[in-house]
Amino acid sequence: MQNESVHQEKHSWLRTIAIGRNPKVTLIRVAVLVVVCTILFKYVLLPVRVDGPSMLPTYKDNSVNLINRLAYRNADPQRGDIVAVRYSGTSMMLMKRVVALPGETIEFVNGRVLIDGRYLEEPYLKNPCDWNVKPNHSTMRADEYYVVGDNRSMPYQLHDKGGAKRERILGKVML
Amino acid sequence: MKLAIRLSLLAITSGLLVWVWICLHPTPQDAVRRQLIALAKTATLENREGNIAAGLRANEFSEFFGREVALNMEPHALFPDSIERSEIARVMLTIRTTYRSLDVKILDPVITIGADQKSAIVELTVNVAGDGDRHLLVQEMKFTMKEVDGKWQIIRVETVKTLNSAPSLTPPETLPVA
Repeated sequence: MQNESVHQEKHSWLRTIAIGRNPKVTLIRVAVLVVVCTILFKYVLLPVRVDGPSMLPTYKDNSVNLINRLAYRNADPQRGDIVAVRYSGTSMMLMKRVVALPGETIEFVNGRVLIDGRYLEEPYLKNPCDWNVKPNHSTMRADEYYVVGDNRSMPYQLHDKGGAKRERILGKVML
Repeated sequence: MKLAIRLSLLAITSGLLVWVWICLHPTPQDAVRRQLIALAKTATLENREGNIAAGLRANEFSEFFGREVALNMEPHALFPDSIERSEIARVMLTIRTTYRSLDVKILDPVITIGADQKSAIVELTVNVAGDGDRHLLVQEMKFTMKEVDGKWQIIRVETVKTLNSAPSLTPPETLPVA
């Protein structure tokens, strides 16, 4: 008899943990949580996994991050921002740093970035770079931002960089 | 309670009927999407194949394209302005006998159907993983497709620049003052 009572008590305790005291309220809570998470992680904070070495050492390969899709709703990307640039959709994106703004001219001299002929201070760069290139498309258009990764120890040709149209910049990297 | 069960059953049955209807009468968007999924599946190579299997698969792949396909691909020096279906099969055969494995994925297709309902423009991202490289190729592309005898075929292939970058190897003309 006592055993049965202990068993019942344990059963009720497990039930409370699993579905709560009031299953209807729990169900509503779960539904609300699902809706909130879906909206939050699809339209506001997009979770991403970093894949590749181009943002080293700032972001390591396989690290997880969030893209704030509302960051540029009422503001433009700023120099130094790390942004997500979309391909045809959001399944794959490029994570890059904005170094040149619309109308500015960029070139690389002895591994350093020059904007309109002036060196850009980039304290976040840790790896050595020997790029000496003036890109053919070096002056940004009115709706274009030059983006490049932080790991410029890679050969210039192997590194994805260039002018990203404003409409392709999906948001700002949060963490 | 009985009413709730009846309503649930009605909803499930209606859903199933709608699903069957959609399967039997696909919209042009659905037909194009299915064709792209089939294209990626055909291009995927799970294990190295024998020459005959590779030839058959390459031929099957070429059937997704029109008899002659217009190309606008970068770098322009490497690609012709057009390619015939038989040539596509030959190129695919070479690729399939070169790599041990290829996983082709077509991501985020944005499909725009023409006013005639017989043509479509599709912007998409191709990700090819192969031989241990997760991103052997990541390329945004634009396909122009046309419905021929009930089958959507690719008649034009273009590369799309995600980042506008035409690299130049010329050194900078001036060195600024540090």
